[in-house]
Amino acid sequence: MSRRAFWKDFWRTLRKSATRFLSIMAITALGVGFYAGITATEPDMILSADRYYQAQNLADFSILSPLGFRPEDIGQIRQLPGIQAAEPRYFKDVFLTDPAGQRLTVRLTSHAAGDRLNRPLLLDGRLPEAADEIVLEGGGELNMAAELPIGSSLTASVPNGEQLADSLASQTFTIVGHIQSPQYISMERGQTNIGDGTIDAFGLVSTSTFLAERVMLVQVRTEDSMALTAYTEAYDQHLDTLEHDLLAMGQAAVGAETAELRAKLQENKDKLLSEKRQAEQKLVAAGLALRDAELKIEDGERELAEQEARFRAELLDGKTELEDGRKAYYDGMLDYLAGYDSWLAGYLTWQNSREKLQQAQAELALGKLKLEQGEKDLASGKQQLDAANEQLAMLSQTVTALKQIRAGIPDSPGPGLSEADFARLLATVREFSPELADYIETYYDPNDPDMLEQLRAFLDTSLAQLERTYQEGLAEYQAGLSEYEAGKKELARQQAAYTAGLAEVRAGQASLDKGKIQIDSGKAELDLARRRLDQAKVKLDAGELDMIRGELELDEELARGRAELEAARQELAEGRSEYEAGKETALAEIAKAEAEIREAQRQLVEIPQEWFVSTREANPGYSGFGDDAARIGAVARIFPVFFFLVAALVCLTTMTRMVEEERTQIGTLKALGYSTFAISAKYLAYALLASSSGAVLGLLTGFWIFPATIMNAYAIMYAIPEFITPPHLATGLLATGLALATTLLAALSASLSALKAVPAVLMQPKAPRPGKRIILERIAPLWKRLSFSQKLAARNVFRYKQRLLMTVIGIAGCTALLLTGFGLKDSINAIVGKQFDEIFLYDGLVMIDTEKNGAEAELDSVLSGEEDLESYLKTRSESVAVVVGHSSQTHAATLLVPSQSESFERYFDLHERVSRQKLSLNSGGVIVSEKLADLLALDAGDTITFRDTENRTYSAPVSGITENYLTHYLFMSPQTFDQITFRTPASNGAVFTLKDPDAFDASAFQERLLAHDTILGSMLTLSLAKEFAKTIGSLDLVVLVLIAAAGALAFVVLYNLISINITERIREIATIKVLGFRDREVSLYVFRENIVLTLFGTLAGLLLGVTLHRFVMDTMEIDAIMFGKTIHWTSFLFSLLLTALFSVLVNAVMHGRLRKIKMVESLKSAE
Amino acid sequence: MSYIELQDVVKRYKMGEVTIQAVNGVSFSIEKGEFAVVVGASGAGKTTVLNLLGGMDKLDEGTIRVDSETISRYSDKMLTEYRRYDIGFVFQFYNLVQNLTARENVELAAQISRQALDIDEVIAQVGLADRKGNFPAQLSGGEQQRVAIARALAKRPKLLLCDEPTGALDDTTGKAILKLLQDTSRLHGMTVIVITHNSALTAMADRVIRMKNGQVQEQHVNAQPLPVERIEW
Ligand SMILES: Nc1ncnc2c1ncn2[C@@H]1O[C@H](COP(=O)(O)OP(=O)(O)OP(=O)(O)O)[C@@H](O)[C@H]1O
Ligand SMILES: [Mg+2]
Repeated sequence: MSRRAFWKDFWRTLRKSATRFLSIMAITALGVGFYAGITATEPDMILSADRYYQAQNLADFSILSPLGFRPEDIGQIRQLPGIQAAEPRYFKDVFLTDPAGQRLTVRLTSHAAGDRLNRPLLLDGRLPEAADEIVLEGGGELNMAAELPIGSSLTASVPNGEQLADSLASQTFTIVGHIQSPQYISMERGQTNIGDGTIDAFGLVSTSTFLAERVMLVQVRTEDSMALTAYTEAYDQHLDTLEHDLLAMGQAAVGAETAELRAKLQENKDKLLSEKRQAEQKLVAAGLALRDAELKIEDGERELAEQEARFRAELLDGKTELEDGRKAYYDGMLDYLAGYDSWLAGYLTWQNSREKLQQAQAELALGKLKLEQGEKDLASGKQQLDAANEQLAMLSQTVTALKQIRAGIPDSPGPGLSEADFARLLATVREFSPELADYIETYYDPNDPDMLEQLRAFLDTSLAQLERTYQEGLAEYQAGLSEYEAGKKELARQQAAYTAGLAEVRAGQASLDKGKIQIDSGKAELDLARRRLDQAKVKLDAGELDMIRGELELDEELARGRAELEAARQELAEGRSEYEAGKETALAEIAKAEAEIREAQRQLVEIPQEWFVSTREANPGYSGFGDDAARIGAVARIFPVFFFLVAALVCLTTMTRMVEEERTQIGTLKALGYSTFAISAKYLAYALLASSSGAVLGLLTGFWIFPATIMNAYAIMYAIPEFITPPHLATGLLATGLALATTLLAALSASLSALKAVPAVLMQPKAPRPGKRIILERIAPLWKRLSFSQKLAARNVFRYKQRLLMTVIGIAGCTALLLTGFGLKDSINAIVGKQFDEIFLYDGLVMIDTEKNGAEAELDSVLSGEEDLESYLKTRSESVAVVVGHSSQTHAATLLVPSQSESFERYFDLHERVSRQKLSLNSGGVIVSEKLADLLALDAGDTITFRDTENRTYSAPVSGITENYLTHYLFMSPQTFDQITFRTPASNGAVFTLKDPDAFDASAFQERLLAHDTILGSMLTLSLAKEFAKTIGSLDLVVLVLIAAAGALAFVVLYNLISINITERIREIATIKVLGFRDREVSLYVFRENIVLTLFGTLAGLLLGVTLHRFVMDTMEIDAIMFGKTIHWTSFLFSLLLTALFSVLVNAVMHGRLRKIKMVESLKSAE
Repeated sequence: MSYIELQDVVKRYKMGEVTIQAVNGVSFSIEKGEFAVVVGASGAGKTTVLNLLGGMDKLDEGTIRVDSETISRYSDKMLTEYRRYDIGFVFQFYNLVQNLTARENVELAAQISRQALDIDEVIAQVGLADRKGNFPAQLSGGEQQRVAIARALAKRPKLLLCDEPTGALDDTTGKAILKLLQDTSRLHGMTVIVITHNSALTAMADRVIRMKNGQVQEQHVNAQPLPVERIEW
């Protein structure tokens, strides 16, 4: 393409797509301007301030010596390497009363003609020369002395107990001019130990006004300071060594001067301590001795009691034993008597039986005799019987023999009997009866034959006679025998009876004998028992005697012991009363010693130890301004980047779209043989022109408008004479470079990707993106429930992923910015709400003038007389400077000590923020407000160091960290205060609660109070809260800027995206128009997806906003204030609604555009 | 009075200084249920006339009456309603919504119409019953044109206007499409107007309108229109 053709085409394209060009330009301008402007604000603020500081030669160090500087001290300071100047200053805080009677607390600082440091900026008039001339601060709404014109005369005064003439050469001053000072750029004027503790204004008077011998303040400027910019790291670093040196020098100087005093105080204290210790020891020793004696008595008593108890127990034991013995004895005796009775009965029975036995024996003996007689009779009877028997037997024999003989004598007369036979017969008869034989022999002749007969007859007669005799004898014998047998039987019976009787007697004798033995042994046993009993009786009697004797002895002994104890007791009582008397005096002495020691300790604690070396950071105005600048810097590091990013994204899509639209032309050119570069050059040039003109526009306005606006807001708070907004080359180049790079890259990548295709393809209209099913459709139940148009919207949302992302990001950014803005407001508002409603429960406070006598008592009487007050609590509050680590930096805080801790919680709700745990004052330490604890990285248990307005430095343990938003507080109980300072906290005011705050007439109350001389004034929490709310109102601007930026962002993003959307789908839109869709339906057809995307974006934005808000809060917080950490739900709602509003606005504009779409042309265009 | 009547219709286009008379006093009429064909050289003003008749554009002079309604006097809003309920359009390049399936494309038209036909039935009628779930990109040109016709028919319009419906199709497919249109006219008694370059097609029309240079050169009624199959071109 020839040059001319190129430019012709270029310009035509440009003209044709003026909106697109302008939109790229605008978004670039917006992004670059915002980025550059916000980024430049921090350096601009710092440059503006530094210019002022340099012009006025603001000191780098301000050194205060509690003892005052000796000339050689100043000389030494000057000799330190790196010191450019060290100038002495006097200062004095006084009350100045103007002719109208208004009293101000003013810090007067000396001014000499040759002073080069901290040069005041003269607003009008001239600087003071004479001792009674003064210049006061002027200009600006910040200061209270502004309305006093030149020539006004002021009367100086000091609190009671001090003589003004001691320190100042003049009592009245004439105002000769008004100044501003680089030392006082903020509202803060510092703290003082007079009046209510705050300085209202500063003034300069001539050095000659001051009568003090020693200089209190030395201002120091370093050599390098001129070359370094305030607030920079380089500046801060260059102070380090010097600060260290100055601190060391101060410690040495003050140490040397106070060494003697310290030693003397210490010695005195030690002496007092040892005296006190001695007195205490003596007292303790006496007490101990007394106690010893007491103990001894107690021991004796106890011993006595123990002994008595023991003896009594023993006696009792003996007695019981004795009783038991006696009882046993009586029992024994009873047993014995019973035994004797039974024995006696036995004995009698025995005797009875013996008698019976003897009788039986006698009877038996008689029986025996009878028996013997019977025996004898029987025996003789027997003998007779036997003889009879023998006769009988002989008779029998004779008979027999006779019979035989007879049998032997034949019956016939025969032969006669031979002689032999007769002989034999005779022998035979002889044998039986010799008489017979004789008789036969004699009368019978064996030879006579008749003889035989005769014999026979004889024999027969003899025989018969014999037989008869025999028979008679035999019968007689038989009778005798039976008689004998009966007699014998009788005898045997008698014999048996006798034998039985004898056995009986014998058994009776045996048992009698046995009984006798038993009786005898029983008797012996009884006798033994009796003997034993008698013995026991003797013993018992002896025991009883012993017992009685023992008891008597014990009583005697006890009485003796008691008497002894009584004596000891008496002695002790005497000793005690003596001791008590001594103790009182000793205690009084110890108390006195203690008070003296406390005084010595207080003096020791209050001895200054060093110079107070302050860098500019210690100046609240200086550091506050630096913090604010840094805060803006922090915002600059996140917000504009965000903004910039979105701008870049918008440019990218726009360029891509443009290239796509011209693809036919690109294809044609490519087909004609133009090089890739030649073709893409057009788009590069387009992007370059659009973005660079945008960037330039952005820089021109941005560098000026943003810093100026923001600094203008800060001008209300800081007295910097002039704010400058120089361009910043680096920032400008960076922003422009980034913008150009982004758009160029976008153009390049878009055109290159288009150029990759072959010309033929390119020349055809890019096929509309083919439809595709989306994931949602897979979820059949859900998909089915959607209406047709909802389905369509859902598909369209996912059809163009890039646009989806862009829209969501853009909208999310918008919502996030809005939420951050609103959240910021919430956080600030939370301060007032929480601080004055939840933490400060009191409704107001009263301050009294402690210089006046009886102020406290009057306060009591006045406040208890006020009917509207519910209750009040006297407090001591003082301004203290809390020391940061080992540096010279301090944080101003209010030390608040109630007169008593009990009802304290009715006025202050001290609690830990997260856990809501209540904090008690009575934990022996200081309760520190949260922000201060954060700044000092303090935790419960750490030690906090602070300095009061009299420059006394104290350290105390931190016992808790309390939720607090506004300024810093230290709370302690009066006891803790006492322990730390060795002073009693005198109240200098009171906090009170009202019965009905709504119905309270504040001004009448104020008037009544001020009628009292001792009361300095009162303040209602409500008005305090209002006041504060007003001062932080300037932050509303930030919120507004954020909202505006968010709106612009939302608009640009949405407009761009919808615009692209419409162009891309113009045929589709024309088609549905042809189908008869009404305008509203057409718009909805397009917007429905935007609504969905806006919804997504908004939700994402709310999440993002919470994070962004937290970040902003963390970076924007100022030292003296803790912002609320939570966003109110209405802010979420507003952000949401505003985003919706922006999106509706864009859609409304787009609706117009959609209406204007011509169906005929649109449908033709692609062909 | 005829069903459709155009009288002295004039349409001009202003292009900077130049004014082009795209349609220069066109008058013709078409009866209800006719299958009319408009032929003429390129640039003769056919499309312009059709657009005017379809309510997509506004005329400068003359009157257009459809079903005794003077639509040439309609406001934009009324024209929208007219298009919505009375007109069916078929374009040379189909103009389907790419992000909708064949069936959904038909549904898009059906859902805004009062007396819409059953969508699936219409699709079946154009022979696409088994392709209705496809996206246009997945269909051939002829199939896409069928979808376009189905979309037009689904609304059950009084008037079906087709601007070179076969222009982008091969002969056979073109014939099939034309047959579909002719059948529609015959079966439903729908008035169909088809623009074409192809004079051969005049044989199948009930009425033929010839245009030239923005004017009606000639118009006649075919006593015996031929079925599409018998036309050769
Ligand atoms: N939007 C427009 N702007 C300017 N002139 C136009 C416009 N639309 C059509 N014309 C002109 O009007 C005349 C008629 O065009 P029209 O599109 O009606 O012709 P056509 O008969 O449909 O031709 P073809 O058969 O090529 O489609 C042409 O000369 C054309 O240049
Ligand atoms: Mg045409």
